[in-house]
Formats: sequence, structure tokens, C-alpha cells
Amino acid sequence: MTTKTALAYGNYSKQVLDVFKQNKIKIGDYLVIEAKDAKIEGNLLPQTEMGDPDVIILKQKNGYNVGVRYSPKLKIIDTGKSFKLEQFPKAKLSQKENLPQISLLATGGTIASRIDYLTGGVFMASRPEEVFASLPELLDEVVFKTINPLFQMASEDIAYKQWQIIAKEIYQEFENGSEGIVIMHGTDMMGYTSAALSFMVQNLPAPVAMTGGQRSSDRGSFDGALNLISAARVAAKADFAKVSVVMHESTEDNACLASPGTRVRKMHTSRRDAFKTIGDIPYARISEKGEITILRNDLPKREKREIDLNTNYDPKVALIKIYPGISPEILDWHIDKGTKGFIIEGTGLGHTPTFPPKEEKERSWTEPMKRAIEEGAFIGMTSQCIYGRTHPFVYRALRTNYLAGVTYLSDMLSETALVKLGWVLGNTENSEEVKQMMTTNIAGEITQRSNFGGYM
Amino acid sequence: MNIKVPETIDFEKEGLKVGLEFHQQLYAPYVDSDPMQQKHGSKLFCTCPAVIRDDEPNFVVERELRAVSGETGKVDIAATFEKTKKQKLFYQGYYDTTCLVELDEEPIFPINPNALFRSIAIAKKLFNLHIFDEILVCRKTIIDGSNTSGFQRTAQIAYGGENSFIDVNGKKIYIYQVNVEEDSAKNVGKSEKGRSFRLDRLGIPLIEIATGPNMHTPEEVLQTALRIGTLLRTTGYVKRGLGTIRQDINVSVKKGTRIEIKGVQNLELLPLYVKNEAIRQLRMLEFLSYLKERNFNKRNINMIKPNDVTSVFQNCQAKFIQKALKQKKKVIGARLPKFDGLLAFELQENYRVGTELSEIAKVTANAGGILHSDELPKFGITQKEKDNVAKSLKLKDGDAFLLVVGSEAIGYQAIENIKQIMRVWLDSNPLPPEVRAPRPDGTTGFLRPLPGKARMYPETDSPPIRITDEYLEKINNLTFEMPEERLQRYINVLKLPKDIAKQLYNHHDNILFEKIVEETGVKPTLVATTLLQDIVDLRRKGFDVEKITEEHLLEIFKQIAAEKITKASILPVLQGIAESKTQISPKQAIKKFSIKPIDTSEIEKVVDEIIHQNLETVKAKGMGAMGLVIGKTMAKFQGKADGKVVSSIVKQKLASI
Repeated sequence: MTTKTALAYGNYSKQVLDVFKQNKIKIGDYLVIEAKDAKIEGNLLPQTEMGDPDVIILKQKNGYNVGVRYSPKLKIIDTGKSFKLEQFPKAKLSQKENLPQISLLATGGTIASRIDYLTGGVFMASRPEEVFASLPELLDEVVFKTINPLFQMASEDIAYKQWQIIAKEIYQEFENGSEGIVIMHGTDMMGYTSAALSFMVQNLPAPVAMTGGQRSSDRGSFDGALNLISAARVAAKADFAKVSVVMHESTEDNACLASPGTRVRKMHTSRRDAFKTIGDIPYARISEKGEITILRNDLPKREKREIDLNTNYDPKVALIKIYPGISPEILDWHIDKGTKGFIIEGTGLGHTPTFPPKEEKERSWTEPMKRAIEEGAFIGMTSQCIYGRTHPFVYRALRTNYLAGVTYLSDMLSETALVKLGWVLGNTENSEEVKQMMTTNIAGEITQRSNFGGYM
Repeated sequence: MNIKVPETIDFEKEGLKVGLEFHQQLYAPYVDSDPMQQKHGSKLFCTCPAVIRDDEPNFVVERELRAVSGETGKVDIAATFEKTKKQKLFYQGYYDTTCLVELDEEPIFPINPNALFRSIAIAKKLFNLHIFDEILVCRKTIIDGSNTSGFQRTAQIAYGGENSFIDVNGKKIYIYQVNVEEDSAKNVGKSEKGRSFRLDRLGIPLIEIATGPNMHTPEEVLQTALRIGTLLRTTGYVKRGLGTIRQDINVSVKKGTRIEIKGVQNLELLPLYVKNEAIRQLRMLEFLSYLKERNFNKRNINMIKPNDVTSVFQNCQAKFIQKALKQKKKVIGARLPKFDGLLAFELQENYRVGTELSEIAKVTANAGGILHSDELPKFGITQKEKDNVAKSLKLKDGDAFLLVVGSEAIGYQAIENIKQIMRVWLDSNPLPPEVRAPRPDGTTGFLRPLPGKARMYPETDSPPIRITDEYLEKINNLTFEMPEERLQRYINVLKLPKDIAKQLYNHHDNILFEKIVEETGVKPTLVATTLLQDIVDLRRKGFDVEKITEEHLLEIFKQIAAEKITKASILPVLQGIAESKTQISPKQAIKKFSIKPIDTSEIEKVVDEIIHQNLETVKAKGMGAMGLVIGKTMAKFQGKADGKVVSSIVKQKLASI
């Protein structure tokens, strides 16, 4: 933003806008409003969509924003003075030499956002290095050979086409000699993207560390600072070549964990430590001082490797959560729309309504699932318990689903299963192959044994 | 040069100007049906009860705050000092009275509707301010650690006009602004590791009332503060007790500058702070003129360099030096060119230039303080050691030195920060604007340079709050009884004796008093004396009167009204409650500790006995002996018998003789 660009008025009503236009009042102008026995002064701000369109919003000299309802009785004087809109400081990247050369891919999200102090709106930073302004120490440890703002998207808007672009970028960066990659991403859907990248880019030569922020960067308490520096440390120094999500370990600002890309889940709407490794052990712990402790011994080390890039994806997949009384007609609707694969998030060990009372037998999922599978759809079963494995045999109802052709996906997370199914269907339409691939561990999505320490 | 400060100055001649920012915690339950919130009120942006705790916290969370990205390029000197203090922050919390909102782990709830209503009512009804049509919650950047988020949430709700003033002893004191905001977390200590804050206070609603700078004497400031406090209490909307009020005072003299004294809790000390600050500004000007006379300049400041002089003190007899050396600490010294004699120059009473440097070292570098050449030899440090320091620092005639005992890093930082402030002294005209801390002795200590305008920007988690005409109508319909009106009502309607009425009308227990009188119908004087005298007596005797709750008092007076117990039971029951090991219910307490009414037949027996013993007198005086018999009977029952009953029995018996 510069002083030359007039800001939009926002949500002001027609009568207020008419007054502004008649008097050539623009956003930012210093107004004096005389009312009753007092006057109010300040720079005119845009009205927000949440505010009353007839209320004029001013930023006073004392810094407070306040609203005064317009009335023809008010005397509004435009002093002709206008404030200078804020210039965001351009962080100068003075990079040192002889440090690990890593790449930064930015996709948007809270971590890559900055506040507009004037309006309070949160915008995606146009240049990802703006985030560095609050952590100059980062540049003492790494060199960013590439900084690539791929998109400026909130994570809920990111889907498979973006995954494909990110995957290809990862491949390209490593081909160009990057020693590790950091991806800044919105937190809501970061687990989906980390799973997708785990399948699309395999046999990595070095770490891909995704990270984000749960607090916005305008705060002194911005958690993304520690997350970003920890992710950069993983990318630059950690000796494991995997896709991970690097976020706060606890509510404290003293360590981050690198969680496996296919086994990580956002478990809290707002806490710093929302990201948890589910039913598995995180890859590594990164202390605030930068010590990286690897927590597992089954990880591939950094090594020059031929990357397997495979970005094929078929988006005709659906994730359905079972709830009491859910009608199986939803399957028919999906099949009519061309859906080829389903992940059913069943109850407990992997149930759907199976044996309802006779007079309600249309609620049973057995026949509709059987029909869907016979028509060529894939149906995979995960559990809404989140933790633990599904099992096809323990109860009669489970066996019924199994015999209907439902594939039990062990302890794969529902979200990971959905992403994997799209990727598998993008690569084969042969139902036997789909079933085979879905039940085979490819990128850590199915654990071989349930580790006692892997719960909560 | 007179190193002692004058005792007082002519405030009018020096053009003293003072403005107050009065901060008072609001009592405002968020959810009325919750007993804890009902009792203590709630926080401003969550439903946690506003309880101040002194028990062990349930958990401690370690955090860090960073200078915010996107701060404007200019380096704010106040921010620089915060950065040099960059340390770990430890937040202490409680499972039952603090939540994720205080921990900065959850977006805020909508603003506490009662807190908003009450602050608007205060602004409009007490101070006659105009209420904004739309109120916008803002974030004010604060990175000293007292807010977990790195900012304080605050909203200006009202602005003053020509008729927004209060009358203080016949003078108009203008009120120009009222805000509602969150209280900060309380600093509960610092260590090498970092600073600790407690989350109990964070988020308690505060109303901030800003006066115009139109007070001109220290006494006027006190009178204004007392008047505002009285007016606020009269609403019943504010919390009471120690720590619920904090004042910021802005003080200037004509030749000086605006200085903010932050967080005065003890109102009685207000005049002293104002006086000392006015004197300090004049003395500081005088001190700076001496520096000028001596041609002290920036080159001299650059000559101030930290030097390790620990070796001088190897055999020092001073205990604090020995202890420090044992802990591998150092003595870092620095030569202060041209400062000889100036360090002892008093800026306030018993507060010298040396004290000021010491305060700078303490608050900006976490040092224990400084020692300086104008006060040595002292504290067990000898003349010889002083001479050796002078030699080692290559002092010239007219120079002074200072010493910092502590780690090398702290010593260097302290000296660096002192140099920074000295540069500010030389640069400012006439005086550097500062925020100063109130000290218990009525002087003010260095706290930090006055920060540039704090960054304020909208709190995105709170929608704009539209204040409608209907809302204001509700407030217009409220009536607050002004303190003077209450005094008259106490005397004329409740028939309290004047002295008791004067004690009570402005007393923090007057709401309870009125509640009891209204709900029980007991004679007001009895309730007033119980609250003002009996409970106070018990406290003075060392009883834990905190155990006596509103419920206890209400039940006692209800039973008195129902004539189930007599007033003779009040004191024993109260004492019993205070002495109980565990909290005892009102009914139980009364059952256990009240004095059983004495059976009429027993009274009759005693009256008969007394008449018999004094038969001659009784016969001689007839009904005239009533007083005597009643007196002796009451004495026999040690005051525990109901006087009315005794009197009627005596009357009956005497009549029948």
C-alpha cells in the first residue's frame, strides 16, 4: 500500500458515502466531527462488514478506534490532512556464506500473514521474508537459496492441484541442489498436505519440513517464530529424509516436534501444541537452542537419491463419517456424482449401521455398500476413534462389512486414507491393485506395531 | 551547589500541572448464575472468576515474547530496553480460575456484557461523558511480559465534552476519556532464569478514567482521586480492597516535562509523589546545568568503559563482596569523567543521582544496584580499596566512578544502559520524558524512557459493538445515589446516629448493610454497629473474620428479626464462626453458638429470689424498686436474659406484692 492508492471505503451506507463524496473525503483524511458539546477528531477508516454502515469509524490521535453514528446534524470538517499509510519495512536479507542452503516455499496461512494495523484485516504477506523480520537469528544458521511464494491461500482452499504444484517444486528444488525444504502452510489442512506430499514425493534426499502458526504474526506471542526456526533447522541439519510437520511440542515456547507427514493431526482448534503424532512416535524433537534429537531408529538418513515424483491424483473420492441413524442413501448420491472411492470413518473398530430393527432395515449399510463395490467403487474403513486400529473380524457386524467387500485400513488416519485413495486411484483403476496398495504401508501411514507410547 | 533537596517548593510559581488516570477493577459477573462469578465478578473476555490468589499455582508455563514483525523501522528507545531485558517468561496459572484465554491459547469470548454495561453506566451517569455509537476493542502492544499475548485489549467507550466534569471542593475537574480494558498479569518475581507473572489478575476488567491536566497542587490530586473513588464505589459496580485501584499520574512543572508515574496503589501517598516529582524535575534541571557547566559531552560518555576491577577486592572485608566473589561474580567498574561530587546530588529526598544510576542498572539490566565514589568508603569497603579502584580505572581530577557487583554480562549491560540514558539526558530539552515507578517512601524511581506512541490496532477477534439508543435508555433510567444523598438518608430515614452514619455512608460495607436492613427489617443501628464495631473488634483481637460471610450475617439478623435469638447472641455467634476450623454453615453456627433464651419460669424464680432478698426496700419503694430488681436480675443472668421479658415479669411481681 502506498499513500497514492486510495483505500476502499468499505461497508459505509449510501447516505454516508454521499456525504464523503460531496465533501471529497477519502479514507485516511483527518476529520473533525462536531457534535453536541464536544468534538471528535481522527483519521477516517473504512467501515468493516461487521459494523453499522451508518457509523463513521475514526482512528483518534490517542490510537483508539471509535465509531460515531452519522446524522445530518453533525458538522464534519475535513482538515485536508491525511495520514501516511503504513509502509511495511522490507526486511533486508543479508545472508551469510558457508551455511546450509535451503529452500522456502510459502503457500499462505497464518504464519505467512501479517496484519494491516490500520484496518485490523489479516493479509497474506506478499513476500514470505517479511516473516523473518521477527527472527533475525534465523539467518545466522541457514541460507535461503530460494524463497518461493507459491500461493497466498488459506489452507482450507488448498486441494490436490496445489499439492501437485508443491510436489513438483520440491522435486525441482532438490534437483537444483537444495539441502532441505521448508514449507509454510495454514494449519487447518496442513495434515492433508503433508500426507499428500508424503505419497507424491518419495525417496527424498533430505528433509521436507512443513510448518505454520496458531497465533498471528502481529503478536509478541507469535508461535510461528519458533516453529519456523525449528523447521529451518530440521531442513538444514536433521539427518532424516522425510516429510514432517514441525510445530510446538507443548504450550511452552521451548521445543518443537517433527511429526510424520502421514500420521499427524490437528487436535485442537487454537492451542500452540495442536499438532499431535497419532499412534506413532514423532521423528525428532528440536529444542529452542537448536539441538535436534532423533526419536526413532527407522528413518532414512540424508543421502543423494533419485526422487520418486508421482503427482497423479483422482479427486473423485469422499470421506463419510458414520453417525447414529445415518442413511446409506448418501452412497447412492455420491455414486451418481461419479465418486469412485470412499473412506468410511466408522465407529469403534470399523462399524456402520448393519442390523437395525426389521421395521427400519433400510438403515443398514450392508447391501448399499455391497452394491457400490460390485459397481466398481472402493470402500475403505477407518475409525472415528482416531486412535487405534480397525479390525474386520471381532464382531459379526464387522465380518458382515468385510464379506460385503469393505477394505479395513488398519490404523490409517481417515484424512490420510482419503488423500492416499485419491493418489492410488490416480495411478490405477484396477480394483485389486487399489485394494493391494491401500493395505500396504507406503509412506508410514500404517504402523507395523502399536507402540504403547503412541497414545495421547 | 546544594546537594540537599529543598523541603518544598512554590507549586503555583513553578506551574505544577497534574492529570490522573484512575484505574479501578470492575465487579461484573459474566454468567450471573455461577456462584464464583457472582461472588468475585468475572474477567473481561472470558468467564473465569476474577479471583486474586495467594496459594501455590497449579502450573507454570514458559514463554517468550518477540519484538513484533512489522514494527516501524525507527528504533524506539523503550523497546530497545525491553529487548536488552529479553528473558524467559514464566506464567503461573490455576486450573479452576484461569483458562486458555489467559494463556493466549484460545481466541477471546465476546466482551463481558455486564462489564461493558457497568463501565458505560459509570461514564455516562457519574461523569456525564458521551458514549461512542460503536465501540471497537483495540490491541495495545506491550511486550514487557505482563500480557501473555504481547498486547493489552482496551476500548475507549466515552469522550468528554464541556459538561463532563466532577466537582472537587468547588473546582471543576474535567474528565475527558473513559476506557474499559484488561488488567495485566502480576509480576511475582524475577530470577536469573527470567521473570514470573501470575495469571490470576490478567483479564480482570478495569475502567480507566482520565482527567484533564487541571490539578495544580498535590493536595488537589488526592482530593480528586478520593472523590472519583467514592463515586465509583457508590455504584456497587467496582471491586473493593487492596490492589483493585491503580493510578497513573502525569506530572509536569513549567520548566520541566510530562512524566508518567505508573501504578500508584496507595492513594494517601499521591500528594507526596506529586511533590517529589515536581522537585525532581527542578533538581534534574539543576543537575543538568552542572553537567553543562563542566562541559560534560557525548565524548565523555563514550569514555565510560566497563573494566573488571575484581582483583582490587580479593581481600575485601565487606560481606556482600565476599559472598559475590565466592559465587564467581565480578566487580565491574567504570570511570565517570567530570562526575566528582555530582553522584551525591539529591534529586529527591534521600534519592541521589547515584540512586538514579543504581535504579537504571536494576530495572534495565537486572543488576543488584551500583556503588559509587561519592558514597565510598562505606559498607565495609575501605579508602584503600577506593583508591585502588581509582588507580585501576585511571581516574583524573574531577572524575568519579561506579561499580556493579554481579556477572560480567550484567555489569557490562548495566554500564551500557547507563550510558544510553546519559545520552538521552544530553539530547533532551529540557528533560527526558519518562515513565517512573512509585517507591514505597514517596519518591519515584527510574522505570523506562516514555515509549513512543504505543501501537494500537483492532482486536480482530471481537466484532464492533453497536451501542443503541435503547441500550443508552436503560442506562439513563438507572439511578445512583450520590454519597451525600446517602448520608442524609442514613440520618433522616434510617435514623442512624450521625457519627455512625458518617462512618458508614462511604464505607465499603454499606452495600451489605443496606441489604441486611432491607431483607431482615432489623433496626439499622444494630446492623451498623455489628458491621462497624463488633466485627472490627473481633479482627483486632486476632480472630479470622474473613470466615464470616454475607450469608452468616443475613441469617443471624433474620433470626433476630424472627425473635428466635436475641441480639446478645450476635457476638458469640460471630466469634464462633471465626474460630471454627472449617467453614460452618449459618444455621449450624447459630445453633451451636447462640445463647439459648432463658426460660420464663427460671426468670420468675430469680425475680422472686431477688424480691425476697430485698423485701424491705421493695415494700418501701413499691413500683419504684423496678430498676433495682431488673438490674439485679439481668446481672444474675449476665445480660443473657431478654430485657423485655425480665421487665414485664418484674412489673407483674411488684404489682402483686
